[in-house]
Amino acid sequence: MSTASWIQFVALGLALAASVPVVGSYLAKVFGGGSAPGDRFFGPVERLVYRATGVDPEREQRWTTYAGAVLAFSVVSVLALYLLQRVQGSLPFNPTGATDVPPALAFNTAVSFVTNTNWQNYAGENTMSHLTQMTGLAVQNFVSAAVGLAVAIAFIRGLVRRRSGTLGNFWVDLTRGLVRVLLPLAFVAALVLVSQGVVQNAGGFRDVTTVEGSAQVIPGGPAASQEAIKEVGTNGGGFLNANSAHPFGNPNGLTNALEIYLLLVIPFSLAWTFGKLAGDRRQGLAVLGAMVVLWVASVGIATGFEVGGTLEGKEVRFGEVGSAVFAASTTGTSTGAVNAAHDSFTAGGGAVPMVNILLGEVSPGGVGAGLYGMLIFALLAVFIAGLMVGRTPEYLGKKIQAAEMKLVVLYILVVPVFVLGLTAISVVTADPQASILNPGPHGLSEVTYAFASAGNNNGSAFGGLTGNTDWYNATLGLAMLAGRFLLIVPALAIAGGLARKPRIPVSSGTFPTGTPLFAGLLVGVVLIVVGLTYFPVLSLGPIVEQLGT
Amino acid sequence: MSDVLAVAAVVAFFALGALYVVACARILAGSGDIDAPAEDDAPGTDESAATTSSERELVG
Repeated sequence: MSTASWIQFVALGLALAASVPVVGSYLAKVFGGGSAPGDRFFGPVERLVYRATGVDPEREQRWTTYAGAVLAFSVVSVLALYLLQRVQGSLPFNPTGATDVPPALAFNTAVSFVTNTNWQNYAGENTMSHLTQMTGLAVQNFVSAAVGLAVAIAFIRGLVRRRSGTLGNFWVDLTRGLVRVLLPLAFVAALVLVSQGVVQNAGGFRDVTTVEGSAQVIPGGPAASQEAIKEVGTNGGGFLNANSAHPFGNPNGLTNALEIYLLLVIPFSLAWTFGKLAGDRRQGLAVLGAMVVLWVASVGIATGFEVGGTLEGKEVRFGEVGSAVFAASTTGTSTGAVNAAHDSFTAGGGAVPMVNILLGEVSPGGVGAGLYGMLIFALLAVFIAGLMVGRTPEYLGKKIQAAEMKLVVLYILVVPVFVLGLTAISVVTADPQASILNPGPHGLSEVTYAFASAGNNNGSAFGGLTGNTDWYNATLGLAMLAGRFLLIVPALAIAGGLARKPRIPVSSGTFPTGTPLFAGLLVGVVLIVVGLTYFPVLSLGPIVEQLGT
Repeated sequence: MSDVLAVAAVVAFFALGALYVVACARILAGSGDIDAPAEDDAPGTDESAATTSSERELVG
């Protein structure tokens, strides 16, 4: 690893370390009730939204109502985005002449963006009109991230409230997340990206003659605004087909480092927010520590495999390290943006993004989804610790009992059932097999990666798989829906159940959860649970491929 | 895939999602001990919080 690469990595770490307390504390004030920075500016905007939508911000919701609001908002979002794609050819602001999106692809794309997955079975600049990109896809980049943020905050409230029947108000959390967090951060990020050469205009394709005298078609459009929220909201859906590998979306090493920073900053900061809202900073630091350990390990392993591996599928301006760090970060979160072809990574290097995704994206995870995913693992960890020492498990003074554990198991099993089940059907059925570019272990990896990416709402892909078929559009869409909403519901149920419980005072029998030991246990539980679940398919895919090279 | 099938699939999934909410609520309701008093509310009534299973066996 070169000196420049080390400097870039250390600078990224320092920037994150400096930002996490600031952003985390800000988020705690935004969602913690009471006054928050920027009230004078944001308050009137929020009140306008509440008045226009008929929301009473003082009215709190039980977990069932909160979950119902999430589902209702999401089904309307999917249907609206589907309709927009189906009629985009007849709508204005379509300088590229994009036609109506076929039903199966429109279904897949609508589900993909509403679930914060942003799996793309199409080339953005060739398939979507500017209107669809700006009023459909970019809007969902904001609101899907805000939904995840809202659920995470509701989950924290469930852990820290005592004898409360409510978790907050979904519409208020959604609005505050959008107005006070995502929009300002994305706006500033977009300006910085534009300053570095990322495209932001209203134009379509331009025919140009290169200095060599050949003809070339250059795409234009509102790329920077989508690029910014794509990273900030851990969405990953690119305006351009080549995603963050395209020089119009990620022109240089500085923008590459900035984009990695943007996709990590909110997920890491939320662990700090958790500590602040819990009134015990050590609790947040333990969760943050587990996230950092997993992220650093995945970055180190990916870099180790890729340095000296191959430059195929990588951009020379980012190099092996810039590609490996991006890959580990985009899959440790639920972003799924790519600046290199993961399919072209070495077998070991390609396994890192896949394992990151299969871990449930908790290193540090998507906006909101990463935190509540990690806290679910924390509940499992205290349960296992309780079994080992024969004590009733507790977390933040709340007894973890049979109901919570049933819901935790439900949460953990849903995604593997869909990922492994749909992968198995796909590799033994003729039509889905035809989409596989590389037969053998790598082909299995391609299919597994696709369903893992969809089921965990990541969105990155092993490019060798042809996904734009009726089978993959439908089944990947199903996996995305299940991986998003069949996890949010039990997560909110756990929060609702815990919120109603009283808080037990700390005693000599309490297993401390704000310690490095607990962070280590948490990492172990994440690795063991996922390792046991997915080890067979990993053995037949990337592991056997690596051993064969 | 047709428009009708796509829309029906989305609506059906979210309708099942609503049933899923009900199922999770029943799991919670079935636990029966959510509102059990704890030490901070009723001192001495919580026997499991700080008692090992082996100690409970001895007591029993």
